Amino acid sequence: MDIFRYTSDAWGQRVLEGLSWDLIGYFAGAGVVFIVLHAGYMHFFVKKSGQ
Amino acid sequence: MNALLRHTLATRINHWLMAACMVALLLTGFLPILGIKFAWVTLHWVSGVIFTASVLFHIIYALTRQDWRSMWIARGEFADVLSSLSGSLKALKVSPGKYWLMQKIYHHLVAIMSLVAIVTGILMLLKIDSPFWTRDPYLFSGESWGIIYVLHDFSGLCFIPLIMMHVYFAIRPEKLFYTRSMVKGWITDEEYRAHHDPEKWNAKRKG
Repeated sequence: MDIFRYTSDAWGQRVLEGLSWDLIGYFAGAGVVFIVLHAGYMHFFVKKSGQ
Repeated sequence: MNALLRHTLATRINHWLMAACMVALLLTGFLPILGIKFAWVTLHWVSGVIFTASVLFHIIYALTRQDWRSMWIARGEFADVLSSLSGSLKALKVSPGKYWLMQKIYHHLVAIMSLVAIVTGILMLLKIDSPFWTRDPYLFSGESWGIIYVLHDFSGLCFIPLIMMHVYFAIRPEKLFYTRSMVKGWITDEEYRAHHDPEKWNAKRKG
């Protein structure tokens, strides 16, 4: 997996272009993991009447 | 029913304007990368300019018309990082004022990422033509532009999980009263006493 994107400038040199778009899935996945863990924690460990 | 004011009309309008801009920015920023091609550049930068104005309004309004200390995190609150996730007031060592610890941490993460996106976005605006200026792609070296892009991309990517979490908490049953307060402005007296320390947040009666 690449972390950065590169392009070539007018002289053929490799130039940094930004972050790799392969990372989109990892960032979205991090959000999903947090939500699933929190929902599971609330469902199994926190009493509904404990507010 | 005794209703207490949580969010003023100005705060609510600005919140939803900011939310609309964020959705527009994420869609115009990421859909073309995911293969859905359309003329996204103008939509993206115009949304970014409105978002910037919205953030500026928020900063000025919070500093002049609201108590900015309601977002301040006391050192002792960090003991509640995990227990505050439960949403139970009884689990906390430090009682919350207007905002809970995780709400404040979330706000600060969004604030940092917004500032990174805004500063780098303004610099990137200088690479495109607009009615107000002529593009200048040679303002920075190629390497510097690369760093600016990396920071802009990083902030944009961070907003994906941040927005997912925000929507998730907004629709959780025990948090729906906060979402209602961002629409209608108020919470009930019972919700106020069950989730906040009246000594730390002196909420005013609505109307």
